[in-house]
Amino acid sequence: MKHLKYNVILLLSLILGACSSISEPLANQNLQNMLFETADYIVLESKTNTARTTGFVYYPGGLVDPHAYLQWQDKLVTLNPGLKIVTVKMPSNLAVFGIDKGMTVVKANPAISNWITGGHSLGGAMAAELINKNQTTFKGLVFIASYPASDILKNWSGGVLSVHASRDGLSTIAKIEKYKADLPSATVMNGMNNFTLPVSGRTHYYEIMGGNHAQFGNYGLQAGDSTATISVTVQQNQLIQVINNFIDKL
Amino acid sequence: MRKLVVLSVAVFVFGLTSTLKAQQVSIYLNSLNGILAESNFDGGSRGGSLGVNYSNTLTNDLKWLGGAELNTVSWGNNVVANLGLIYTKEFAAKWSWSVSGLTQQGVALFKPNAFYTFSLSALGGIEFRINEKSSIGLSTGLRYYNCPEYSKYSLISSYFDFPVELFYRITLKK
Repeated sequence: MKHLKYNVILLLSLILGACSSISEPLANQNLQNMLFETADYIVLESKTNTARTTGFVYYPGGLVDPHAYLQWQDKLVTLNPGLKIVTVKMPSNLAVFGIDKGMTVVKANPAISNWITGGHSLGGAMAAELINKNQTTFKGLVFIASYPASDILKNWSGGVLSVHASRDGLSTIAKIEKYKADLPSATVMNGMNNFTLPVSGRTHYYEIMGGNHAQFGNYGLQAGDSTATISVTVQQNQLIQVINNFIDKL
Repeated sequence: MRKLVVLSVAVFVFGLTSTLKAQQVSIYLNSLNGILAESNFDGGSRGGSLGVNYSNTLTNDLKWLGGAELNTVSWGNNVVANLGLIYTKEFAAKWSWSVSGLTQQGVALFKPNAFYTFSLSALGGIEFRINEKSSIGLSTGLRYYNCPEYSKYSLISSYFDFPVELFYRITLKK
């Protein structure tokens, strides 16, 4: 059965298009925290603070090398040293083929009791599927330029954060608006710390003005995307601030 | 790498035009199961592949083979050319065993630029002859693969796997 699964994955990935966008080289990412890697996961955690209070299961965007998010993830861990971020490597770099892998991460870290999940683009949509199957395991969901594929989480009791960019040519503002009805009640944020409490049972929307789709990672330009009017650093600094504030409020 | 691809194609074309010896085409599906990532034990399912090989007789029991494979591994998708040797011996009516050594050269499908990747594998298997022209079989063994350029982007760029391969072989001509 396992053989059949992987062969189906292979054929589908060839149909969908097989080339993945490569990340920045590790040497250029100047990571400050501890990086550990297996065949299935990339783990980032603080070197100095060994008390992990929250785990973040992260699903990369479709056909994007999973190391493309390390730069902002590293800054987020520096900001919140109790956070452990586990980026899941997906078959063919497509999260649709590895939706359940996130639960392996949770089971492998029994000392962590607070879990959130999320991802970029296709990864966010598949993280929503992971929560749908494991509704009590996760307290929060972070969509990054992403939205759910259906209304599976409309009545979910956890907190949802949706971060999107005004110049995203793929997960456009129109699409984010369209899928608002499929998520818990919407709150549009005016600032990075402007959360309505409790955050659980709500979806908070934060828009990064001038940002685009590809600058949520470090993998270069993406076909179909619009040109950003802010730098990668400015966009990602806003992203980590709002995620960190969200984790604090959960 | 270009030379190896050209050599594979040349050998393949030469083989197709040869009518002196047995020619076979096999199609295979492969499941890759992890043993090591770099030098650390790392089990679990690693990916899979779909390939086709052409083989032609060198001696009574020894054949060379060449072909192509599409596979997905931990870092993503790859397209590789196969070149190797296979030794086959019948041990009972309709049944034979085989051992093979194979090298693969190809590209890991990244953009903006694809990366060179290679692998070495040693497999042993059994084969059942369905009729005069076709047979099915199962092989397993060890496979090492590496994408040297990917080591700049990841802490892991080489693996040892335990492949399980299911194949269907057609004899074209004797």
